[in-house]
Amino acid sequence: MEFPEDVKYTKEHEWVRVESNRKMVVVGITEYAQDKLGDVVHVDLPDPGAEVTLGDSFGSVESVKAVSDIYAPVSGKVKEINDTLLDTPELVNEDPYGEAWMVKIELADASELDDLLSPEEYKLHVAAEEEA
Amino acid sequence: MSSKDTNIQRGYQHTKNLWEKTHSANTDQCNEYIDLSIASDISLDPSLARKKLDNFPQLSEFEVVRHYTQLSQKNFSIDAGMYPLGSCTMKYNPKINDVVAMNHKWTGLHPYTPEHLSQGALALMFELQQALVAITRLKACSLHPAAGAHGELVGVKMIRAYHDKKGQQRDVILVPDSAHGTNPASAALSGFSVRELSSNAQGVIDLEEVKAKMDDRVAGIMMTVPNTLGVFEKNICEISQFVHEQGGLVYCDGANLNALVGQVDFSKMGVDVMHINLHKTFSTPHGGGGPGAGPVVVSDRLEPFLPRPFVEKTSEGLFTWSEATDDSLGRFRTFYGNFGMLLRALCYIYAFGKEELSLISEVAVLNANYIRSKLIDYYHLPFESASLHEVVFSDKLQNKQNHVTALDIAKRLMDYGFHPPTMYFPLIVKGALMIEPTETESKTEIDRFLEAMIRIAKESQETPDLVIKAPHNVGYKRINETQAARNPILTWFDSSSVD
Amino acid sequence: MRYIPLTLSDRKQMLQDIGVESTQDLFSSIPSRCRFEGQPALPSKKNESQLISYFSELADQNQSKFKGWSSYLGAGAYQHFIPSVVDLLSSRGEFATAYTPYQPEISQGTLQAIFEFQSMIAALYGMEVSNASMYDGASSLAEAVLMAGRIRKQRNVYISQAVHPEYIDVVRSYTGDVDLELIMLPVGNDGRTQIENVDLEQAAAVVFAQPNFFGVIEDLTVCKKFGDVVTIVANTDPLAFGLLQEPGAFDVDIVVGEGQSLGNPLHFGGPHVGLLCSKKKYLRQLPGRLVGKSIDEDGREAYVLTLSTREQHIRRQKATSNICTNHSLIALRSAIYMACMGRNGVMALARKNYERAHTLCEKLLHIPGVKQKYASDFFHEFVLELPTPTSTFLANMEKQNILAGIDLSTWNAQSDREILICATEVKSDQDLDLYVNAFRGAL
Repeated sequence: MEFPEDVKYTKEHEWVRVESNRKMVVVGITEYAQDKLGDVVHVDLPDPGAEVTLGDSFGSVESVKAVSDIYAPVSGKVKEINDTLLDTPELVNEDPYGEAWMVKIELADASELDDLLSPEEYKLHVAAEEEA
Repeated sequence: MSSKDTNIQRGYQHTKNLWEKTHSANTDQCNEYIDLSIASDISLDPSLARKKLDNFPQLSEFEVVRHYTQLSQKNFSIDAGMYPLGSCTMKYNPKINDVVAMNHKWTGLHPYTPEHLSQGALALMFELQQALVAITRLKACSLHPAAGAHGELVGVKMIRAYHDKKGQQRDVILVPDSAHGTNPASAALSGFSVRELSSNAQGVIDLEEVKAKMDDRVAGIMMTVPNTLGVFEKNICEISQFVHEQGGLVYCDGANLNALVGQVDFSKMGVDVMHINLHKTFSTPHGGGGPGAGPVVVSDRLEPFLPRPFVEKTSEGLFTWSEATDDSLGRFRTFYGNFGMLLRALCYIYAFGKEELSLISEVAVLNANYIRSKLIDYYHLPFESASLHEVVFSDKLQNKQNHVTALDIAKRLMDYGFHPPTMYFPLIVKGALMIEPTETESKTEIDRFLEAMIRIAKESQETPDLVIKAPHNVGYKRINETQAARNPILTWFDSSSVD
Repeated sequence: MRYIPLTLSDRKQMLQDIGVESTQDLFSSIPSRCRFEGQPALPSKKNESQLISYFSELADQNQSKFKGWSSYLGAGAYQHFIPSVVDLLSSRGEFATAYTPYQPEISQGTLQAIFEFQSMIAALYGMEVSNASMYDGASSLAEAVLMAGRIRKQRNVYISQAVHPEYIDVVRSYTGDVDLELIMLPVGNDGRTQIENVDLEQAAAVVFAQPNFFGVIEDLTVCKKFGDVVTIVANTDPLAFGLLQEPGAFDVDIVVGEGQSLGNPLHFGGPHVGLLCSKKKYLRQLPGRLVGKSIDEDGREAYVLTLSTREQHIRRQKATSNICTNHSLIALRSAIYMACMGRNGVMALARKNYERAHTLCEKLLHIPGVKQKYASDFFHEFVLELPTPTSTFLANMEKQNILAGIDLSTWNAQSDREILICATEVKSDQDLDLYVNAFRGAL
């Protein structure tokens, strides 16, 4: 299982890549999350321009038998969405950290980044969930 | 026993669809069932008329008969074999019920026939209302809802109407984490938000958990009894009492009534409203997914809010439709209920009568416990509390050893000629396999099922691939659900993907 | 009890294997304070022969054509001829006693039949997709209105006064606790819905019936005027579209229907079957089950329940609806019926229905004092104004064993001299003449 070092993580199994001098983040779901879901058949994303609040659900990822909400890892404004996922949801399974990025959010408060998990912390979180 | 010993037709047989069977040579054909000739041409304004009816099949009658007969042979059914699908109560559907229900004197009756000319139908509905009251010992009954979830919606709306009438703002419903998905969905459709109750280590809800989640915004609680683990909610009487003291009402999901017929007095349990799935407990055929019927029975608190109309008996002994009242919820469907299903259910109840009705639950519970006692050495039992009409195992042992999942076990059961149990439900059990035999299986058939389950447990150890790649001999391999969902094709003339 | 196969010795053996003394021991988890005392207040058990006599005696207390009665009742439930093959094929145990096709490998019969049902319903209404069916027409309409509210997040739902009054009641019941307001659209003297009041800005949906409750054929070209507002057409007899321009031709967004006419008996009002079609772009907002086409691992064509993440068993309180069931067996009957009738049969049948109702109406209009209420053309039912109160007239007709029609004062007190009359293909010329003669005498 991959846990790239260049991103941060949330307990809800999203990854967050910080860009543009802590002004922008790119968000997707982790390899662990896609593995748990199984074959992804549909991705629901917010409209560009939407305001999102830390911790709120702003989209969802569906497999045949499950729906998983995507929670905003930070507050801010959605600048861009990856609309290729709408037609090719399978990218979430194939390349979760790359081509299957989901949204770009312009940060409202950069200090929120400090609460995200490091790769090491996320690894432990996953291990604990597996244990349960 | 071999896995070739199956109850359904083996071998793949492609059944062309109706359009593939429609050939141009017979497109001028028209099956004559009744005189459709007309003397002179009709006067309809051409601008209102349909230009053509495309994409519609055209076959001779015998081709239609072959088509559906072949399709029927691709179905597993309770008539063909044991169907231990937990929570669905797949029992024998006595043939007499269908014969009684399809009597032309019932099927030809228009719903707007005046009441003095449809006394037989009203009497029948009255008798079923009375029977369901007698069986639950609640106060009153409406046969209006079309299905269990429909009954839930009606029930939850009655709870809402009760509080509205009292001028109380209560907008939260308590629902256990083990509940059927219809419970939270029905609550949401009635404008409630759902507060989840966690099951304890025995798989039931503690009074303390209810106390912790209760406040003056809570309108009521929805409890499934026995719950979806097949375990009786042993704190239910105390929970009901507490919820009532706090001004809330108690909804009982009657999906599992088969465990309790003639065993439990629901008024003593403190229930205010309960729906009854006639297609489960009272044997009306499931029909490939419906129709069912979901009557609601209520306590005196909710009687004024019942949907209308229902049947009343006058002092002269005639049957009449109840008058509308201000408090009644009104309608949730046209007409009065799924009458054809009501007939079948009453026929089932009368076959047992007052003397033998409780045999339903006694034998259903006996069969489930027999299965439990025989499989407990082979499958993980996540909750050890006493089982009533169904028992929930999990795939934990098989999964740990060889990554054999509940799905694999289910598919392998098909090879042995059985319908699989319910899988992956309730959600509080990982890899759940929920087995409900009902009262109508013979010991011989149950023993065959047990033998198959035990074999699969062994196969999972010794030849896991055999299980993981099942089914092998039902005519189809596993069907690609991912492709169906990624690129939905929902009609034969639809080949485009969803945008 | 003949439905229970266990013998006494089986029971004894099983109890022994479980390790308990009696079956009652298995119920020990139930507190004594809520145990059932005594027997339920029910009649004594009946064997099959007693059941047959009991229920046929009850059935004999109804009027029926088997007792020489004839009926001209419609209003959402219609008398059509049902080919014998429909009853016999649909009652095969393989279909009737299967459950929801959750295990597709052993449910291809139901799944293919429902896929074909969806295809035929979509074709009949001229729509892109149909679901696997709902409870009935009225609850389908309520679900369609909720769906429209999700698609276009506005508050107002404009609904024609010429939609079946029970359908309107059901929409009201379903939408009572959500943020939608129902606004009625009046009916003009021509019997068609007037749309002048519609405020497009705040409208979520506009709802018409085709043909409408009064039998009148609406001019659905107006549906093209509503822009992004969701247009919904409700239909109580799909056979009408063997003759009338299909709703899909008017770019309608959602079509709901009652499928009883498609080979299903009146059965005192149920079970019937709800139809629900929409444009494909609204698929994820569509409630209810859907069957889709796929393949198995060996690449063979196969069918499967699909897009179930919209449904309550997965999405729980966030689902598109709480519905779980579809009226699968009635949908199957409808599919068999449509396959028997075929394209040519459905079109000929619709013309015959139109012709029967018009022949009858014309004859009745020759009777002095009888007037047609609405000027617009109708399909197979129509409203007449009588020179006497409808209730008196109906009672007089009953004396001649005729259920002559429906008293519209049931829903609107002012309509106490109006009657809704339906004539379908089952009425012969002789039947119509008998009716007309009785009618003359009953006024």
